[in-house]
Parts: sequence; structure tokens; C-alpha cells
Amino acid sequence: MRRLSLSLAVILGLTATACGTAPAPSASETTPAASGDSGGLRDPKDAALDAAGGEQLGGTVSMLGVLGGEELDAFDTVLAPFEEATGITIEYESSRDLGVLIQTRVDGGNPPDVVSTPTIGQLFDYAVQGVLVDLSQVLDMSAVAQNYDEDLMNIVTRDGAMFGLFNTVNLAGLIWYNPTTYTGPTDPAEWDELQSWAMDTAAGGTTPWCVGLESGAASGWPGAEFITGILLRQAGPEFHDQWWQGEVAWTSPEIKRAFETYGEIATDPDMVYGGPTAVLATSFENGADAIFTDPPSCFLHEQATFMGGIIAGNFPELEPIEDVDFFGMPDLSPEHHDLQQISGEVVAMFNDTPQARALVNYLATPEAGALIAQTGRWLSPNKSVPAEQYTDPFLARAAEILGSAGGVSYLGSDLLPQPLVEGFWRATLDYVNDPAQLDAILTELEEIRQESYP
Amino acid sequence: MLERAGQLALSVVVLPVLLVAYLAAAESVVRFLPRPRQGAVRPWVWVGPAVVLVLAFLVIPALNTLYLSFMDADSTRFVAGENYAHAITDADFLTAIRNSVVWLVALPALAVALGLAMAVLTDRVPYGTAARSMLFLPVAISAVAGGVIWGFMYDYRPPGAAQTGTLNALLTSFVPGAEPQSWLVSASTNNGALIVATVWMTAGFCMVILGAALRGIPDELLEAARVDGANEFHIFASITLPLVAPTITVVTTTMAILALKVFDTVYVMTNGNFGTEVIATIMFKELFSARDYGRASAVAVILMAAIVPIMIWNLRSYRREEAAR
Repeated sequence: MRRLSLSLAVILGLTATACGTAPAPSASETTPAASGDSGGLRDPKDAALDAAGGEQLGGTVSMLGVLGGEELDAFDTVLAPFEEATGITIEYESSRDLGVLIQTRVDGGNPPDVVSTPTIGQLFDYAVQGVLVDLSQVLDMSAVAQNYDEDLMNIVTRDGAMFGLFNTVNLAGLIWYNPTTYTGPTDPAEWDELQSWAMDTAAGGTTPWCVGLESGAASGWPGAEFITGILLRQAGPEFHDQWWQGEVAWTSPEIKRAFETYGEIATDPDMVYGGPTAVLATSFENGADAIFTDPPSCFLHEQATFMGGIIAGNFPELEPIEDVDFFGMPDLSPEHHDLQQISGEVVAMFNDTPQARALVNYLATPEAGALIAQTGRWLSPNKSVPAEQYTDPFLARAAEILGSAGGVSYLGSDLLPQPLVEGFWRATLDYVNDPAQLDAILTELEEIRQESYP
Repeated sequence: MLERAGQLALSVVVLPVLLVAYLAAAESVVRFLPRPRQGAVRPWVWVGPAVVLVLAFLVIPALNTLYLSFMDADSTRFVAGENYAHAITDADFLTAIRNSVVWLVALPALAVALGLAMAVLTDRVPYGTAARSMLFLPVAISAVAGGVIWGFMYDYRPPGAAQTGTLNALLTSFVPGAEPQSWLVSASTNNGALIVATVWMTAGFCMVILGAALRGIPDELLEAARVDGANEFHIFASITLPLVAPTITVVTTTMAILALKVFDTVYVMTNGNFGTEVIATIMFKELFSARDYGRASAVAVILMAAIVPIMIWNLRSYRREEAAR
């Protein structure tokens, strides 16, 4: 299988400008000449109407996704101009058990028009089975080629067909902290530097880390992503790619070591707030809460860029950067320097309706990308979104980290086949619950691997 | 929306019309038969549609499930008993069997005992009807909503933090030195916690059925016992209980079937994690996550095999109760 390592000199238009030191790409090539605040972008409603072929189509698009609460409100601001301009109503149905829901709907012959999913691996199967609409027949591919990074396009292309469109991108593996209370290293070069501070803090009687794994039917995913981040940085991008492509055994020492490194945090009552019990019982949305109580019960929390929005929702009085900040996960091996990982959501189309076509076309426009950037929660994969659209300081910081990264990989845990995605989530819970069972847990995952790849 | 309205119209108007047309047509044919033959044919004409429906939606799918349980994941190859062998050696499945036994004993016992107590107590107070209505309310709540509600009840925060879960808030404020419990994670409490939530959602049903049986006991009988000097405990033990015993059996077996096929509460509250797997959640995962139709069907057949004896017992008790009337 093709090796996947995103060079991503610029995956996002913003990296060039937001990170002053990086060489600017020939702006004329990728971005329209920036003029004023809008950066040459049109009114999103005009872009939406164009996407619908200039027609007030009306009707509905059914959409399945994982967003809920404030995250969904944020995404609604992206959809609102489209709904207004085209008269199309988007019926967004949300479930944390998205994989199963998609499966049931497809098996029942009643798939949604469109899905937006972070677990892309599940879509590979559908792409091969041909139940997804080939978006290269829907979108203006010359614009797509110009606006989207080639490596990202490779992920959503199977057998020459484009089965999905990247809608949002997150920088994964960030360590969140509160600058007013945290006294440890804020730019640790190595994992051990961070962990030795954490161990000193633990010895002093305060738990350094906070973890929350509860997420309904998807419980465990934050831990699976953390372990994936550790695996990438310990075993390197090549191993990481082989791993998600199903070419190495889950019982490999590299994978066991990644679990154990995670366990040094999540299974040790001295290292994590509330011990493993709280890790398992705390919702991922409240995972970082104890950092911001007075006095804080912990100082560090690992999560992707979107955590900034969740923290802001839980503690509206906090000022970004002043009270909440993050740094990238430090190196875990001297051979693999400054690696970063991105994740995201991919939009795929099951039913070829004019309304669904209009929506996908709209989401591919820089105007929709700009609205995604303006939510302050997600990066847009669209390179033509001008840097000025990122007003959120966290996203600007994320762009900085991405821009200077020694290598960028896509988060492998989201590319696994669906049974392994769910198995991995559950394995994380089982491991935290009873670390002594690690070998048995990995053996079980290995059995699933052997049955899950075609 | 319009499409759904059309489907609704189809089901409430067209189907009954077709059914009546069928009966009218069949009757007109039967009438031409010689009189003795009419008696033999007519029952089948009338019961026919029901038989067809049961065959199409129950018997054939059940037989198909049985067939699929001997095939591989995508139903293309015969694998004999492999799926069953996998099931009974799978650690998760064995946990599910263990849990289902716990459910099978605890849910009927608790729900019926509580339902009976509520029925007896509300039977003898003037505001009984109002009390019964309130106690019946949880039955009307969907199991998913009930699971979410109880999820809040069982919410856990580490010691020292403000307890937002009702149970832990009570525990830490009224029991000196008590630590909050993570009810849904800890293996010693999680199955019990799920069962208690289900009891809350089902005890009202038991109460209503048992209450109806209680009111069927003739007042003269109770009067006579009181005149003979029996106290209330005697009356309950020697008159009330024996008379409602058949109803208790029916309610108990109904609860037992419910316990065996419980799914939604577990799915919503723990998703089978931390050793709370039950047979139905295993079946769900084999089907929709692993996409293994063979194994999922094997689990379904095992579940069916466990339920059928209870169902037969239930039907027999029901018939006996009917006969006693």
C-alpha cells in the first residue's frame, strides 16, 4: 500500500503567513490576491448559490455526523449561508456511535444523503463497494487540485475515485495547560523532560495530568488517539503507516510500548487526577476541567486543537493564551524529530441528489473554508482560505506548530477499519481499567486485525 | 414528510380495506361449499392472514437466522458449529452469559417484589390512584431517556470535587467519611446499577398488573378472615398471596424475558464496557461493528434458545390463570 506521510509544506494557506519564518509559497498560485479583510473571498451566500448551480433548489439534505452541542452550533454557522441562499434545509443527525449508525442505515437501504465522519477508515470499505458517490464527478476537480493538499487527497481517493472531501482539520496531540498555574516546561524538546517535571509534581502530592475517556458509545477514543500519537513519535512514521494499513501485528513490542507509555499517565493514581477511576468515568468534554479550578487538581491535558473551543465553552471567563495555552507533544525518540499529527472530518456522499451535490460543492469553496476557520474550532483543509480568516489565537498557534513540523502524519487511529477503531477504543478502556491484562488485550486486537483487512 | 404521510395512509387505510376485501371474497367462495366442509375451511380462511404474517415476519426470519448461524461472516460458506464454538469460548460472551444470569435473577425478583409492595400499599390509601399514576410514570419513559437520566444519577467526580451525581452527592453529604463511588465503572457496582435503573423503569408495570389482580380478590373473603381474627399479615400471606400467585408467575416470567433481552439501558449507560456486556449487546456488536452475520446469528439463536422455555412457561401460567377464572 502507498506510504502516507504528509509533507505538508503547506497543508493550509495560513501556515505560510501565520508562521513568519516559513518561506511564503507563491501566493498567486494558491490564493487569490488578498484584498482587504475578506482576502478576496466572496459573500458565502453567493458561493452557496453558485454551488447550487445558481438555483434556489429548496428541499433537504440528510446529514449524519458526530458533532453535538456547541460544536454543532459552530458548524451551523458554516451551513447557515448555504441554507439561506439555496433554500435547502440540512437535517443534521448527531451520534457518537456514528460508525454503527452509518452501517445500519446502509444495510437497511436507507443511507443518509451525506455523512461527515472523523473515522475515515470505515469509508474505505464503502468506497471499494461502490456505495459512495465519486466526488470527482461532482466537484470542479481543477479547483480541488489547487485548493487541497495532494497527500490529503490521496487519503480520500481509492481506485481513482474520490470518495470524500476533507471538511475540517485538527492538529492532534497538543498538551493543554494553564499558564497562570503551570510551572513546568512550556516547550519541552523531549517527552522525558515533561514527564520528569510531572513525576516531581506527583511526588509533591499533586497529580500532574488530567484525562477523560468517557464519550458514550465512542468511549476510549481520546486515549486511542493519545496512544497513536505516542506510537508515531516512538516508532516513527514508517511503522505508524504500516500499522494502520494492517501490516504489523498489534502484539508488536512497539505497540505494547506505546500503551505502556500512555499507562504511565493514565493508570497511575499519582500521575492522573482521580486515578484510573476518574479517567474512565470523566467525559472527554470535561477532561481538562480540573486544570482550571481553584486550586487546580492537575496541570496537563492532551487533546487536539478543538479542545480550545470546548474549554472556552466550559469556562467562558478564561482568556486564550493568557489562561489557556498548549504546546505540541514533545519527541519520544531521538530518531524521530518534531513529528506532528493531524486528524479531521471527511464529508462523503451516499445519495446523488442535486441538494447533496450543492452542499458538497459549497463545502469545497474557500468561502465555506473561511467560515470554518472563523469558528475558531477547526482548521480548514482548503489552502485558498486566507490566513486572516484565522482570528483564533489557538489556531494561529497550531498553524505555527504545523508550519515548522519536521513531518506531518495523518492520525492512524482514524484510518483503521471500523472493527479495529471500536476495538482500539475499547482496548484503551480495558487497559486503563486493568493494566495487567495488556497482553491479552493486544492479542484480542491482533485477532480483530487478522479478520478486518481484505 | 409527505412520503411518510403516504406510508401512514397506506397502513391505516389500504391494508384494512384489502383485508376486508379478502375476507368478503373468501366468504363468498366458502358459502358455495357443502355445509359440512364449510366448518372445516372457514377457520383457516379467517386465521389465514395472521398465519401468513407470523410466517413472513417471525418464523421465516427465525429459520433464516438459524441457517445464517451456520455460515461464515458474509453468509457465503458453511462453517458448521464454528460460530457457536467461537461464542462459547469468547471471554466477552462468557461475561455476557454471567451477567444475563444475574439480570435474570435480580430484575424479576426486585421488580416484582417492589411492584407487589407498591400495589398492596397503594391499594389501601385514599390517594392510591394518584400514587399509582406517579409510580407508573417511569414505565412511559423510553429506556434510552431513562438510561441518560440514571447516567446523571450515577455521575462520578473524584473525591474532593463537587459531586454532581445525585447518588454520590447524597452519599458524601450524609455518610461521614464516605468516598464517592464510580457506580458505572466499578465492577462491584456497575451491573447492579444498571439493574436498579431498569427496575425503576419496570416496577410500575408490575404494580399495575398485580394491582388489578389484587382488586379481583372478593371483599367478602377478606371480611371473613378479619371476622375470624386474622391480622393483616396473615391475610396477606394466607389469602392475598395465594390468590395473586398465578399473576405473579406471569409478571415474573415477563420480567425474566425482558431481563434476557435487555439492550438499550446497557447500550446507553455503559455500552457493555467494564464487564457489563449482555447477550443483546454482544449480538449488536457482532452484527454492526464486526459485520459478522454468522456470529451475530449464532448469538441470536442462543438468546432465542434461552428465552423460549421461559416463554412457554409464561404461556402455560397465563392459560392456567385464565382457566382458574
